[in-house]
Amino acid sequence: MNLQTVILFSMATLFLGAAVTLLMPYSRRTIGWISLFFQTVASLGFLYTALRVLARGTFNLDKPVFQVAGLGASFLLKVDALSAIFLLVITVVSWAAGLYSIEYMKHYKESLARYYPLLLLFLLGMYGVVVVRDLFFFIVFWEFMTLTSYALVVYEWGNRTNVNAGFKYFLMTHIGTAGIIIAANTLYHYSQSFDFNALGPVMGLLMSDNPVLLHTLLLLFFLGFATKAGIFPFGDWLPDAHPAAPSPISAILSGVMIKMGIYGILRVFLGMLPVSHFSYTWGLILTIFGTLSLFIGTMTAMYQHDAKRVLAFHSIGQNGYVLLGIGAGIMLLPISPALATIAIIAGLYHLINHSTFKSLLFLTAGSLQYKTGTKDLDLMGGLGKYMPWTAACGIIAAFGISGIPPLNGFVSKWFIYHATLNGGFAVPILLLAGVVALFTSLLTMASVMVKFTGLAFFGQRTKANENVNSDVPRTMIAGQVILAVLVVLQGILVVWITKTLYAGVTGLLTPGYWPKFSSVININQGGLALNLGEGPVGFYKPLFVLLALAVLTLAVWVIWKSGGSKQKVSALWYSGEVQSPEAVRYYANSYFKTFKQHFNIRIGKYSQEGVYPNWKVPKIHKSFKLKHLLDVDDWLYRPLVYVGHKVLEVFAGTHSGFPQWYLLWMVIGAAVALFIMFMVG
Amino acid sequence: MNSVIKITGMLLVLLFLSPLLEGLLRKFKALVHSRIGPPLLQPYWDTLKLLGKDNVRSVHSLLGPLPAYLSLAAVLLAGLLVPVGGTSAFAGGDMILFLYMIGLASVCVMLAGMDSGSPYAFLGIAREMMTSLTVEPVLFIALITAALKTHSFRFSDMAFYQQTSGTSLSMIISGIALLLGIQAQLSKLPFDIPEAEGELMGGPFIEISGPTFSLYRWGFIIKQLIFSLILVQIFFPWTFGLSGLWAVLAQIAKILVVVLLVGLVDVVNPRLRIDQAMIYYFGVVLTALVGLVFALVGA
Repeated sequence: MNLQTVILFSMATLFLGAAVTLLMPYSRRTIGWISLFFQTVASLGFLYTALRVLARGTFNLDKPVFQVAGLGASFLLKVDALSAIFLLVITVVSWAAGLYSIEYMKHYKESLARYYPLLLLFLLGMYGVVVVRDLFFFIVFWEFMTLTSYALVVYEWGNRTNVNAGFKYFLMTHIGTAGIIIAANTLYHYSQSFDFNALGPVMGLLMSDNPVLLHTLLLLFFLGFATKAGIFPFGDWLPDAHPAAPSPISAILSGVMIKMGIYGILRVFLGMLPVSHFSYTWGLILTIFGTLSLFIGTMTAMYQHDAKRVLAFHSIGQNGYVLLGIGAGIMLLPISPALATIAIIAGLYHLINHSTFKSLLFLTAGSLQYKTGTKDLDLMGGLGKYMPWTAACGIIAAFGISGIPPLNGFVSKWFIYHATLNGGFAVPILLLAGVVALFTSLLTMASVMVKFTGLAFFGQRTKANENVNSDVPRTMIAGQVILAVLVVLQGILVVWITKTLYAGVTGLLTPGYWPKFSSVININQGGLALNLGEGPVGFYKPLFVLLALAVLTLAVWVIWKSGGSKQKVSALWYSGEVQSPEAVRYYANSYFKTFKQHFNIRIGKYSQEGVYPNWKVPKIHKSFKLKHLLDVDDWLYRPLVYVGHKVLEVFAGTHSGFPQWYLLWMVIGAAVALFIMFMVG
Repeated sequence: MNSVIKITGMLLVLLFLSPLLEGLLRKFKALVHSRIGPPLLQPYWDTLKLLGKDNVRSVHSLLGPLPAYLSLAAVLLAGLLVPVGGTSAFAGGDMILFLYMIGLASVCVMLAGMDSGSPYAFLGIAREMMTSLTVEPVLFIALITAALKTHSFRFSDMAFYQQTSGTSLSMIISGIALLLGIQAQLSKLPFDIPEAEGELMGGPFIEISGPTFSLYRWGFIIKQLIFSLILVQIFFPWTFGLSGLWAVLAQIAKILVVVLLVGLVDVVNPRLRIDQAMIYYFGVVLTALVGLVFALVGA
């Protein structure tokens, strides 16, 4: 089957699905299944596309599907290995979230006509972004994605906080997108084409002719993509928007959508920008912002007690890891291609890992919200006993994000440390970035592993969730289990994934530039050994580690069992007093207080808690006239309605209910009619 | 086959020789206190006795003794990565895997504490995590310094470095920082803040007893050996010109010196508050960073 047909058919399916779910007045559950059906058909199409591209090589369309002659844009499709990787990420995460939605969305009061159609169109936007080769249509799909996701963020529009969060998201991403549009148009001025392939040489040309312009364009691209990717400080919309959206949408936003910013960065800074000192400069900038983002995002997560806000700040942090890997790679390209390959693979590996464990954590937070009706971690506690599946999946995800071997987070972090620390021998700033990344990994462990799971699943049940007695419905569990299995598998199938990512990375530049896979990474016994030319520098064999841990655990179990001790269960010991769980609970704010104190900011008179800038933007006092002018409702619509209403009230007064009055009206009416007749006649 | 023998041998050493070190340490502490102290083999008897006692767990427990198995297994796997006589028993000894295995062991302790549901345990865990947050950096910065000198992240290469290229200032500074950090890594006084028997009644371990508790205790004892080995093998691998059996004895003597030094500090100090300890840890991190900077400029 022709891949072009498959891609267009899948896109059409999503469109059709949006139309059908919008128009069908079925029950909340049925409409969910219908939506999932269309999503599954489209997912299969894209899955086929992705796997075929990975197996047989790039699909590249020479002739555009159609052209917009007046704008110079042509709808060109290209799916290379990098696009295929993103297609897989979108497909898997969104399918799990779609399955999860069916039951989850039942507990909202708002109409589902604003959920499923928009969800399908949102997916269409993201799929579109990664399959086109034309910057114009890239931006079209990009906008499609932004607008639909905005509408999904403000799904609960009755809540003022959510609407404000949505507006912030809308405004910030559009400022970023404006930058991308300006940059695209400027490039078009030189190339007379929006084709990705034509833009690379233009950048090469600008490099010698007008370096200032090129730097400006790259800055605009960077701002646009970094805003979408939620990189600190551009991603300030993220911690507000993610908690506002329904949980499956938060999962897709965090697991997939913010990765589109990274996709854009890869396409522009690696696919278009020729390897030169520009790569070094911009790689350095990406590295610095990545490091800043990973530290500040994760550190700030420690101050939160709203389950989804904790995770949202971690998204800033974890995307910082991704950007650090990719930035280090772009930076090292002119210096050492071998290290650059490892660094970019590291970034991409973390990207796919983050897409699974973070969306799983958001679904976990969603399940907690579904059962307890709150997002506040302080009101939860001891839920593991009653929600075993959710707890198990949540703990796996927490292990994953903390990078505990042999789960997926460890592999990508292992890659990142090796890339940055080895790169640090050449460029010391990378060494610093690596040290910060290692430290931040501990912070992640502290706030997700200890705080999030500790508060939600362990300890004693509080009064607030006394009536939680069962786990979430089966389809929701299924959505979580799919992702949990992936978290484990991504940690084990390292060889296959690394090879795929290598194909994705090397497709971006001329083939001869990259070192051979076998010369950088040696594969033996299902594991990896990094080699930078002077013999292996690091080993990781997940199967060996897994086997060793299993055997050792078994051995320890034998020792534990050997004493033949009796098993007993006892109540908690409170130094002999009887205490309610609320009275003795260790609350979210108390966690790590002494440690956090050392990270408060004090500049002159200004002081604040934590490293995340939370100063208030001064309110602009609009003059009354300007505000009046902007508010069309106020000076046009409402006065008109008022007048109309008054007029109609006069007529309404005629209906008094007494027959005499009606007779009088008839007489008057007849008189008026006669009068008119005589006057006209 | 050779590696299987090596791994088994190392496991046996870790499991069955490390309690002897603990016994010596206890004897030494008693000496400082002017007591007679327990017999040298007391740690073995303690473990045996605990294994036979009733295993009492809290009503809120979900995981049971699972974290205990995993914790000891992780410590043992970390021990297999540690270089002995210049080579590691397992997989070339990747430094990052080692760091995360030590991390896994402490995560398991925290899981066990959370699992018990006791507020004392939660308090202890938060302290344990804060300690990790400030002490683990010392370990990895020191090891990164060694990696920077060696240009490799394998313990085997690191252990050989000083024998071939001689010692350097940065390695000595890092070694000292690591020595200062070990006290807290092993939760010894004045840094036994997470357990704080007099205050939190054992912190994470308050609801843990019998065989499960013996596994955690064993893990701590093994960790003591692991950290001394890291310090002695990578940062102070000097053999004083000795060779053969004498060199091995010199290494053992150095391990004893490290452990007794830690014990001496333990026995003469009262427990610090967490905020006081935190400031001390930051100082140690700073020392380790100084070592790293020295390594960067080539010293």
